[in-house]
Amino acid sequence: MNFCGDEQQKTKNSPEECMRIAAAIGTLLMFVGAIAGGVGQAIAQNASDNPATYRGPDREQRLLDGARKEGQVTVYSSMIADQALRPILDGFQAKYPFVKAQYVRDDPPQQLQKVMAEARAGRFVVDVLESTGLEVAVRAANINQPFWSPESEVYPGDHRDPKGYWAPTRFSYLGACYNTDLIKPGEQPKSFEDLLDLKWKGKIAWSSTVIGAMLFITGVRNFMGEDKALAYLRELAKQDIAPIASANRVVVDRVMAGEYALCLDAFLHHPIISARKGAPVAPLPLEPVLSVVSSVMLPKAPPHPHAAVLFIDYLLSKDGQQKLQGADYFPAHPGVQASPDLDQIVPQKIGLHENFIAPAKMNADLARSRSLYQELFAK
Amino acid sequence: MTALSGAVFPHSPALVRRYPLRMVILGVLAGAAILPPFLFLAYASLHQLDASGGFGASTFSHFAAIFAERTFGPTLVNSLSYALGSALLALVIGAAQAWLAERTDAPLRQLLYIASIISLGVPYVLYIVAWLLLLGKAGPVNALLQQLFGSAVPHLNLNSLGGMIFVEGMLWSPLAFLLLAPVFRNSDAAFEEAATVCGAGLVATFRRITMGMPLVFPAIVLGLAFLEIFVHAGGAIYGTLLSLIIASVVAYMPYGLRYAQIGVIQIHPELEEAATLSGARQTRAFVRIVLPLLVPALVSCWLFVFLLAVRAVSLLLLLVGPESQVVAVALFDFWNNGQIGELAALGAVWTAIMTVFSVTFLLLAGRYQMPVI
Repeated sequence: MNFCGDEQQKTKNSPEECMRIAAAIGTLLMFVGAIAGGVGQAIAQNASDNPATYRGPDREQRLLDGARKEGQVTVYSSMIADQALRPILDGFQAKYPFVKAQYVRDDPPQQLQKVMAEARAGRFVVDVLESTGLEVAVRAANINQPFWSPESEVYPGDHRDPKGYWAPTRFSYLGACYNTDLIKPGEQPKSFEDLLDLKWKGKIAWSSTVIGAMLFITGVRNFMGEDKALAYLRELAKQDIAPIASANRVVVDRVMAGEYALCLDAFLHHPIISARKGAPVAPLPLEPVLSVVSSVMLPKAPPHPHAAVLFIDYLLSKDGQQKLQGADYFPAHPGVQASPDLDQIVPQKIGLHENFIAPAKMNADLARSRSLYQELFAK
Repeated sequence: MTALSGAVFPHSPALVRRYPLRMVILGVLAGAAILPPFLFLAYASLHQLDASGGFGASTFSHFAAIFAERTFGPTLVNSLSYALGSALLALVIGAAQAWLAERTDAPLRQLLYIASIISLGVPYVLYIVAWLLLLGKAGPVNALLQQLFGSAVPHLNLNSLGGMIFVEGMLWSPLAFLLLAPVFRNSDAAFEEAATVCGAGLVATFRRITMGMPLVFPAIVLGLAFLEIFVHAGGAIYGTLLSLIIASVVAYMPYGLRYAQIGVIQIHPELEEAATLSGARQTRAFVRIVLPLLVPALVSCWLFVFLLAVRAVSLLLLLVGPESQVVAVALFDFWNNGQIGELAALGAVWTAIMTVFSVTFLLLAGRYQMPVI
């Protein structure tokens, strides 16, 4: 803006007046600048104080001091409570006895409803959210904040969010499973193509949930490409697959009970755990083996921010990840092995390709997978 | 407001006439409990949702989308057949049991009461698992039928509309029985009156069971509405036991009312009029005459709602917090996680506790001459 320019002489300002105005503006700008600088400094100070992103050498001490004052942490997780969640909380509590760790265990859809309602009301109860498939929805709802943990540095870059909005906690491998009383060894289908054999018609089940049939369809689309996938799914629809409106685990139970010979969307460690207890069921990894990652997220305003970050540190640490091993989950930590029993389904260990569906991909493909499911399978 | 209390107590206009103020207060309380979730649903159905689940511009698109969905018609028809079918089945079984228990001298007929009370306390998920084990495609009944008829495929399929109606009908038959038993019991004064009362009771029970399904608030929807209300209520109610109690009060009020209603119907206005004529003031007449007569109905109503409430799952799924875990939801988690052994163990312990509790309750009630059921 040129207040004293030649073209704007209409205002008839004298040179003195121009100087005075310029001086006044200059003073004003300096004043504003000083305020802005101060505010900026305060913001920067605030950001560096935020336990979520603080990287100073006294980080650990700050977290401990803060967590000691807060005295509590509330974890929302979709891990099975008895087998994984409680051992992790116990481990955390043993290490930090001054923080009372409590949890709410829900399936991801309920988790999403709860954290969204809490965010809308501006009143978080949750300190740490651990779940499968919610990364994009939670981010889109502007519920979480980026965090940094020294523990997350050892995880491969493509398994975590570059901006730090989530970090991986565990992997899952998905595939078929079959009843070993109903299908003799050697007669089980060995590939996606084999699933189209009409001798399986009416004998296959899957879960009609987002993590069930929809994820199966997303997986097929991801490795076959849209055209081939559509042709394949049309053929598969002829098998009259029974939809079960429950979690994938429940479908495996129906196969164990002999109600169905096959299911297509098992978390492959489930049949192993059950077979170990004597159930007539076996996992059936189909190449390429579908895999997904679960992750941990930090809400924007957790009621116990220091304890929350301390818990995330523990969950991502070797100690925390080892608890997953005991629970037959697949630890996301590259330095922690899954229990040897589970090697039979890890694609790298049995020489199969992996079909990794990253969170963003899973979310982006969901709408079309759902409409394909409705169109082809929901009759 | 009188109309509202009239709606709450449809068969007791006399009470409304006699205690207008009390009935108005009751009506307001009932309205305050029922209206918020209803208003939330109405509002949510007419507004767009943004990514954070907050409300945006108003819209009819949700309704348009539902009606455009090609499965909408069949789903609606299925739901109606399911609700009507299971209510009819529950009614037939419940009425037959009530007749046996109240109008015959069948041996051990009192067991029907105990069995019904216990079965009311069994969480749904246990019920369904048990039916699946028994009548599922791989269950013993199907195996037997297949052997008998030499067929390769199972005859019974629980994962069908018929199967769902069967299981749901069985699930509600104890409720139908408990609601109908007093009707059969109290209808022995005169035959024609008996027929009328029985008929009316059957219709009312059928309506209650049918209406308590999809037609009012599906539990999961009510749970969602309450989640929204509690989380916005400020204070510290969200996630607490108190929040579960409030939600359950609203959800089970219709059952409680129906049960209490039976008690109210039985109190003849003449009793109270006599007290008033003898010089007692209205309040005193209510406290001394009406209330004592109502107590058995209220006590049995309490047990009844208690047993229904402890087995609720879907209503509470969205409401439980870190310190308000309830057994029914824990059982549901076991089921979802394939921990069938743990499910059975906790379920058995829970059913045993409910049985001991109910029997003790009934014995105590009998001891104090309260014919609870």
